Amino acid sequence: MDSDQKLKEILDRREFLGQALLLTGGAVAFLLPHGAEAAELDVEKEGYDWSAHRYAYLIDPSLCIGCGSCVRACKRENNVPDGFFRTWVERYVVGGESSHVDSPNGGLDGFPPLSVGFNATKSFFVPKMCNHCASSPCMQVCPVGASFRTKEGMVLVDEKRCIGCGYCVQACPYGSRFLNEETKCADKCTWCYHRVTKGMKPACVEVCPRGVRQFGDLKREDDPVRKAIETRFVSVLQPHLLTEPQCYYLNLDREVR
Amino acid sequence: MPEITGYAFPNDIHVHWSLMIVMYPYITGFVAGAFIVTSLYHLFDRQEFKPVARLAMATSFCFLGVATFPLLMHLGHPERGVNVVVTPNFSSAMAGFGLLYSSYLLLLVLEIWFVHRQQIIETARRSRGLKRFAYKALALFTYDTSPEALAIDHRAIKVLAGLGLPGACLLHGYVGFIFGAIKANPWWSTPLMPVIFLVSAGVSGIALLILLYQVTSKFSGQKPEAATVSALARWLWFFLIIAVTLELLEIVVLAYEKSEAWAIIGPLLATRLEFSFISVQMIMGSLIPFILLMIVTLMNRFLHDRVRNTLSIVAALLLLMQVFSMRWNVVIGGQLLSKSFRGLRSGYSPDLWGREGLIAAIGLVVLPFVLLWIFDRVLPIKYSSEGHGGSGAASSPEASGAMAEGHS
Amino acid sequence: MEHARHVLRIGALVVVIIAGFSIARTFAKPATYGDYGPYRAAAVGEIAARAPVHGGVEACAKCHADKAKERAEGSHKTVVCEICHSPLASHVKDGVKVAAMVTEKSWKLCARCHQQIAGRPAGFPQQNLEQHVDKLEGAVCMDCHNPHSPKMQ
Repeated sequence: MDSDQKLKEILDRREFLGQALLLTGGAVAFLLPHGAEAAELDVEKEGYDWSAHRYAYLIDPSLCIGCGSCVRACKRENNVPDGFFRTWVERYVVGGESSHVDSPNGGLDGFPPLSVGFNATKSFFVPKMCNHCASSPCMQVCPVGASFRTKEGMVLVDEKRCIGCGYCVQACPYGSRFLNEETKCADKCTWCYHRVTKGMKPACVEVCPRGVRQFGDLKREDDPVRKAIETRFVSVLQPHLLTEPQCYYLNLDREVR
Repeated sequence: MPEITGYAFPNDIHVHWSLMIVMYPYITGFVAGAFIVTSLYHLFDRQEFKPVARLAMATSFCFLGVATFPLLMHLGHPERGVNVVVTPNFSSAMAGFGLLYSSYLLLLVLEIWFVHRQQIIETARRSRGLKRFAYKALALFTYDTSPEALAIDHRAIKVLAGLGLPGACLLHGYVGFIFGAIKANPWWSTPLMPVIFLVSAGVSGIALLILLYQVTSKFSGQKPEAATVSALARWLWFFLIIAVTLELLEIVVLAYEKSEAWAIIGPLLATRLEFSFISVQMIMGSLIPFILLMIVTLMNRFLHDRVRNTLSIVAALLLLMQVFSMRWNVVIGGQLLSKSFRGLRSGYSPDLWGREGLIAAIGLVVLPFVLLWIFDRVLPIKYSSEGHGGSGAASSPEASGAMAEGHS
Repeated sequence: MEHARHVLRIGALVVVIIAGFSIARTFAKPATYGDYGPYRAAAVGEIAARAPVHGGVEACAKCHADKAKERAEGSHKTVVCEICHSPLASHVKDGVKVAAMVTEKSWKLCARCHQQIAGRPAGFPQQNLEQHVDKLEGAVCMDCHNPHSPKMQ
């Protein structure tokens, strides 16, 4: 009770500080003239309500066979340049005294046989991608508002505003972003926004032969991903950074960062 | 393709922030550092800095003039650079750049104008034709050099210097903040970063002025003032001690805490940055100048002018290198480690040509000195209002302070 | 105040510059910027408008119902067409065939899933390929296995 009160006070103070900061920022931003009415979005015109969804992604590493189909599908679906990855697969080979991690070409061509110099007791694959963090550092640091989060929870890049400074690439703790050498813009996974808005699954989910990758909608009550997040043991990558990732992993090993 | 030791995230093997992002803090460091020197005179009335005050102000201005260039050279879309001021996203530290840069530029231009105003008017009165019109326009078509007007100038300079010093510190501390507030990167993420950047900016600014002061004195055939050189050396020593203490403190804390990140930063320092951090930044760049400046400071009375000048010049040159290597080790070093904390990429070396190449970087270092030369042609830095000849060679160092403060 | 004329002039100049900049800035701001937050709202529609490349099993089944049925009944029922074949967009546009379907038949494609390597879950069917076949070359796997229903009868 007493400690609750205290916590509340601290939170209030934090909120106040945040608001004070915002206020200063606002004062600094001169007095911006604001558009009268927010225009209807193009996506909404085709009968898609972007405020009716809140997407989340669920990954079960224990099922992954490391075939790399997702990486290939992503590359083709999104025209990802060679040597860069919107999604990739990592292999962990772990023993009592040592561990080994690899991801040759992001797992694009599958994985070769491997011999490690220690007694491996477990090994597994972990698919990685943008976590579409709810409190994303990449979005925070974009100086021009070219990185943004849609109402459904996708973190996207506006390729007509991005100045290619690379600050977001540095700020992402997961290595999910890169500078596209063709567009000279920051590039990243969109959770296949162009597919999802048309009622399709993201390409990586579509092609996964093992059901490792699942895409779900937290606003749907019977959604299997929502159910799994609510009832099973899930974790996120680098939780200590408090980025609130929206890619959830089932039974993640501690070696995975 | 870079070689990877251990495991790096596949997108993590690129050095996206290249030589130009090393140049940017290096150049803005001179802006802040030189302004600190000019403030020591204009704000804190340290008379021994009078001979370098105007030179320092002009240096700060000329480096500020090129400060945006390395950023523009680096951007994937330089033509969209203006977006930073058109639609600044204020949750980003970088969005403040446009505002900080332009307000500091404004302050500095105003201060320069007030300091040089009487000189502009006198030049306008002396000249004919187009030149006369140009200086007249520079004086904003008012020729008031009455003692009352000059007193107002003097007050304005004080106020602007008072605002300019925090402005310069913000402009540069903020560059450190851009790195220091990246929680994804353990080599950058420390609240010490803005302070380290600021103090080493002081180091580079003072070191540059020791050089510039002695070189310009040589060109104009005068002996540099002993008091000025030893004061600059003393302050340089002070800033060096703080800078190196903080630089080491950051690492010692990581190592002593045995933080998660030390597992990758230890190897980073021991392998990838062995030469540029330990040899260049710490031994050649810090230890040797520390000893040299200690001699200048503690044995000042016993030193012949030429010995003092030489020692301080050597120390200044080494420190210019130290500060560059510090910028390099921060910017490049932070990108050699993967955020997987499991791998390091092989060292990065810049291209020779190209937008972000070595030649362009050298050009960026030379350009401010060209600007300084032009500045001196337009508003002679060593100017004597009594001389009316306008050329610096005739004036004595004592008179080289601006006349605006001359009557105080 | 009569001696402060130059201060007033430079002050006015500064005000003019700042005002000019603020006005220019309003014009440079994109129309939909800030509608839903600090970003250009029109970008959402632009990204959503990109054409999908992968069509999914149902799209393939429209023309290849027999193969789709065979696959759906075999042990490759979870392996969608576009894993082994190329994506739909390279083959069909607007319901019309534009190019032949490129199909990889090499053993290497099979090996991506079924070669025995560290990392794969224990229960998953995998083979030590050197022991499994005499010579690893070309479409050797298809000598015995039908990729649409690979289980040996």
